Amino acid sequence: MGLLPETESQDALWRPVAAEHYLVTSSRLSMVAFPAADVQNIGLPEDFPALPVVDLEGVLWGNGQEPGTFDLHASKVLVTRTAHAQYGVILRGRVSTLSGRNLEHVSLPPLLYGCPFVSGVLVGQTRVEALVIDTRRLGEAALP
Amino acid sequence: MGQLIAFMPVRLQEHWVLVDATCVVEVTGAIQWLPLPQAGRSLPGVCAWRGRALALVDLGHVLGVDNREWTSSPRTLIVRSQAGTLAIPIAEARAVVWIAEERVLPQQATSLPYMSGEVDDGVSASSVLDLPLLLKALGPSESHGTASGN
Repeated sequence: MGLLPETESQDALWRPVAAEHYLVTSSRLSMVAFPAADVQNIGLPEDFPALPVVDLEGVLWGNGQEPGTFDLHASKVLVTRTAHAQYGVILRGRVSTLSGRNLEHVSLPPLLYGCPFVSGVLVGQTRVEALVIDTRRLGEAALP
Repeated sequence: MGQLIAFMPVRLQEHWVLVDATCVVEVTGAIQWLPLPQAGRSLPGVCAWRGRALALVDLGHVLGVDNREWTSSPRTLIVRSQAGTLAIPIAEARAVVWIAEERVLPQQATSLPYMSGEVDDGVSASSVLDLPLLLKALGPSESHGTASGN
């Protein structure tokens, strides 16, 4: 079971969603997806003051800012974990859910070996919906 | 006359390039793609085709004929080789032409990288793309930068 963020209700930032769903947000020109099964929680930065955080924008595209310097009011924190640590991923775009029912999570083609934090893509019938983030590798690489 | 080879002429900006037609799987319209983090200009992203993810090759950049940051093209060439299937955005494609093997000569009028030769029809010369050589250059052992090999 994963978590669904971004309800309009003030008293519920998230609610459970099925594990085959993905949490999707924009990151620069691409959409990125987190498998819901990898997500433990999601909320506002002030909800997780002691959590180490990774700036997704900076890690992926190299134009991020140091944690603590970006506009937290415009951000959300997605909580996930590696085998060794729980951590938060700073997301800057609107977060929504995507059902995996009609999508295939496929590996990247062999030529596209460049980004270790992308485990594959979500492919629909006619287009690539999102890049799937490998939360384990993201945490291992980006956390101190 | 020697063996005939089937080529598909494709246009990249002002340059016509001949592609081995036996490698061409399909010519589609404009294709939607997603940029990939840390990708180079030569392989900027990924697209979907028949439920699969294909690497997108900015051939204009690889060949050095178009240094603008590529965003979209009206046509997409889907090619298959031993190294896999690729999507190559192009400006235009024409019907397959059959050309005698002996008319494919070393490049003289053209000087593009990753070409196996050129065909001169008396009016203009078109380069012949060496797809295996291109894929080898784009592979993991090479950089993603603009190609300089030949």
